[in-house]
Amino acid sequence: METEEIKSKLENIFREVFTDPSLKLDGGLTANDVDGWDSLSHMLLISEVEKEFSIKFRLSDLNKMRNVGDMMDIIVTKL
Amino acid sequence: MPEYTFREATENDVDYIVQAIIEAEKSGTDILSYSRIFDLPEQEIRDLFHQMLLEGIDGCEFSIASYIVAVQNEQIAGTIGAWVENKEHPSSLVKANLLGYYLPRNSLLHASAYSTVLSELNIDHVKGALSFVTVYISPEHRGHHLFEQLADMHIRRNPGIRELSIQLMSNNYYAIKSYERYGFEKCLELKSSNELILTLLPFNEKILMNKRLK
Repeated sequence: METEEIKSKLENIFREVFTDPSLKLDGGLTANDVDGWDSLSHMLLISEVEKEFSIKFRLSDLNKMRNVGDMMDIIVTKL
Repeated sequence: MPEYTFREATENDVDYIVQAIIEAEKSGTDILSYSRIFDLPEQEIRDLFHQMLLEGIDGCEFSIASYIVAVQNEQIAGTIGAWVENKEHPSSLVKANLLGYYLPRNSLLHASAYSTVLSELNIDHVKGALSFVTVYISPEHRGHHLFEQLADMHIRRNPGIRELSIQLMSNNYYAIKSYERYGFEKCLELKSSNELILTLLPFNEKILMNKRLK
């Protein structure tokens, strides 16, 4: 799967979880940049990403993620 | 006065810490928010907490390293969980990673229905502050100033810290009085008028208290 395709799928998930159809993803995006990115929405986000890409993050993967770019890098390693 | 000693918690203390988290969450009621929000029986929640604490992830209430315990006659008498809130990466996400890793997807989907109402009482931890989250003293050891001594020890192991913060439900009157005696002041109060909140949380009002250190 190409990086752009991963980004596009992720963007759709983010827009749905955070109910913001205009949300644009970039690698540096963090929880501080998105309204409503709290603990509950974070759990849902991770769960939706795992479902969409048919992957399962390790706990160590999750704890390394500091922004969307980190998330994309880890997804790539699992596809 | 009984003799107490104070030390950092270890994996051997995990059962007491789980009990402390549960009692602190219930805030003197029978409502365990995790059980209600994720639609799981209390015993399953206890088992989850046990597993999460043993993961050894630092920086949230499910981190053994966050806890200091008071001990008397080799029995734990009380504990406080506290950490310095990271300025870049919120502890709420560290906790969410642990919960999300262990909770079944159905529980997460169940919880998603409550996202909006729960956000009405959401208070972020204060960045850079020593954040006290789980405070629990066993009933038979109350009245011996263990809160103050445990808090003092947390401060000593975090030299340079300039602010303490704590958030709790407003119905926890005795705890609020105890924190005020220690120098905490209320700095934020949130109230939800949504009736659903009282089916999920022990109370519909939450406060943030802080104390500046010299």
